[in-house]
Amino acid sequence: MKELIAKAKELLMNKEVDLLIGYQSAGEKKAKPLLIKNPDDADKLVFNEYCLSNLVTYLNRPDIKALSKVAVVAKGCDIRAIVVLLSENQLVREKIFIIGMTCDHVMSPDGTEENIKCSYCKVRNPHLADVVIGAPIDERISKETVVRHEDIEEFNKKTKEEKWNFWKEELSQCIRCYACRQVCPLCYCERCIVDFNNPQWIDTRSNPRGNFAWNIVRALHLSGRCIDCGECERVCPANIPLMLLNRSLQEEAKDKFDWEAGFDPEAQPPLTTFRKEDDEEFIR
Amino acid sequence: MSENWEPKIVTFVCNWCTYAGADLAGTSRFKYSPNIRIIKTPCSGRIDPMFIVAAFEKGADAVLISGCHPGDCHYNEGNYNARRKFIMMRRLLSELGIDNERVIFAWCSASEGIKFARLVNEVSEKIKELGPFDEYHNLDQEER
Repeated sequence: MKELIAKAKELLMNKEVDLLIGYQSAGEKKAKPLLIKNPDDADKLVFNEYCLSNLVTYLNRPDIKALSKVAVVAKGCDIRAIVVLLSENQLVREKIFIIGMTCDHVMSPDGTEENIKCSYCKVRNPHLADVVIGAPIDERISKETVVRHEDIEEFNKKTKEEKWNFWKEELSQCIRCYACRQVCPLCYCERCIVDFNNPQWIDTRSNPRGNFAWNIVRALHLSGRCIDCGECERVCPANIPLMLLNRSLQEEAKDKFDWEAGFDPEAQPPLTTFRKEDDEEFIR
Repeated sequence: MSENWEPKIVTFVCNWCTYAGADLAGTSRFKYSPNIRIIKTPCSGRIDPMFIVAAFEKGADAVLISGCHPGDCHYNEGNYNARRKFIMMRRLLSELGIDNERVIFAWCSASEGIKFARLVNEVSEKIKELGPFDEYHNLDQEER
């Protein structure tokens, strides 16, 4: 922590960055974002296993984009979001200073156990950073490991009727607050498709039909892009298991396009390219 | 299901191959089932997965999508890009419990009038078996 505070002070004092985005304590076993411009405020910075938020979301904000340089405290998983944003030309690398934190795990949102995403994390040591803070940590699995999710395997044992009823029930609870969209570091459209009313693609009222359309489009627009930070599910006030959809599409991207988002900023995102030998068994 | 129910199949076709294929089916007097409603798009790459959702919302029982064969795209690679989108859409629909048999993809060239007619007949038969897509259409009535 000392190292982090010292680095933050140095960056702000020397005017290397205009703004620093990090975490501050929010009471016992809780942390929340902290945006500082004054080096004196750097003492408030913390980093621990309760630092769940993906601060990369802030980098999409127009007022923050307008600054000449911004430092962000990021875990390996958060850095994957930066990588996707870079590959989609949404960020200028020179305008961000990445303070990469080595991180063994964070806790689940209720703070009781290790977060599920950490069990298959491949980036305990930041893979893209201007400075790395913290001792190196042994990776538990290699980069080549193909991750399979038990919950998806379990879910796919259901019949289509069971799946339909499951989602009908879950999605009927959606209150259309769009917290999932707001918190997502990869939902950066200035005007979201759901806000268009000519033509209106998605019923904006919170009814089952509109909720299906919204959640279909949300998952699809993240397909091949979602970096599994789990923020959408964490912030959902209706506790809809959104990651079940996101992770299925991650598996699909891996199986069909041999793609995992957020590792290589130079790689071409899968849905902007193709291979002639792509699967087409389903096409008549 | 009422006795004289007929499926509505919204059909998105590309301008260059399948639309011409459908046209050929017509000028050649091949008979095919009248359950399809053709919507012409510039290219299969233009077919946003949201079109499928919109079709179901507006009462379609199935969606048929067809474009040029790989390598034949008027814009060279539109159909290749479309194929990737469709792969993702299919997986998502199956996760949501929506029958993948209600969303049919095909390649059909301008010379394949007979293939188009056969395809439409087959799809139409299949959807008659499956019945109306009430699950989706009824979402509307479940407004709270």
